[in-house]
Amino acid sequence: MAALFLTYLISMCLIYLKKYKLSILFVFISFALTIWMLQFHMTNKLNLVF
Amino acid sequence: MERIEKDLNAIFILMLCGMITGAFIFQYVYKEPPCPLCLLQRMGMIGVMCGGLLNLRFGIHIRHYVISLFAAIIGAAVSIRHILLHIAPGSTPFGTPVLGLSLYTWAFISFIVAIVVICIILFIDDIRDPTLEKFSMDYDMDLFSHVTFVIACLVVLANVIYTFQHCGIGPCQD
Repeated sequence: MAALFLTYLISMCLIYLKKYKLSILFVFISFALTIWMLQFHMTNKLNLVF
Repeated sequence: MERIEKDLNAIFILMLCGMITGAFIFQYVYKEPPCPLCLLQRMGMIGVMCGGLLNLRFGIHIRHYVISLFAAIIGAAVSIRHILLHIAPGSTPFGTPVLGLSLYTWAFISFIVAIVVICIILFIDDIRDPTLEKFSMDYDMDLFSHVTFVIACLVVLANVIYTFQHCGIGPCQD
């Protein structure tokens, strides 16, 4: 979870440093990790195994 | 007009920072630590902020609003999941309600408002002048934008520190 917040913080720093493409890449990496974490929470809760 | 739009972006980012700060108040004053879904909702809000920050740094662009829209959709999905977990008969709401609604319900409302507002902005932007080029790699930010950036980064840094202290790098326990 802390790593996820860290990716968002890195994205914001990259935006501030004017690294356009890298910042957008990091933003989408953050989104993907967030969705993965939501999926992880749901499968954990339901005790499903994929 | 563009200056007003940028200032509104900055105000929206500060409002989201205020919401996350309010959640911190619940953590430390009311002793209600956030659950994993609460943290994911905060991430959704931070994602929405990222789109606004891109607008402040590089100029207004549809792409940046789309990023905010995507983050708001993810945040709304997490909020719906959280609401559904606690509205079943026999289950209890999670956390202290604010004005009669739980924090995750307020988060859902705020994500839906963000989605609607962004859709309206995208619609109006296209009508106003679809050929106007506002994006630039050499955009100069004013003081208000710089302050907004700093506040947003501090809010996210506080979340990083808190989450690392309580959960480490990995997923938080429910």
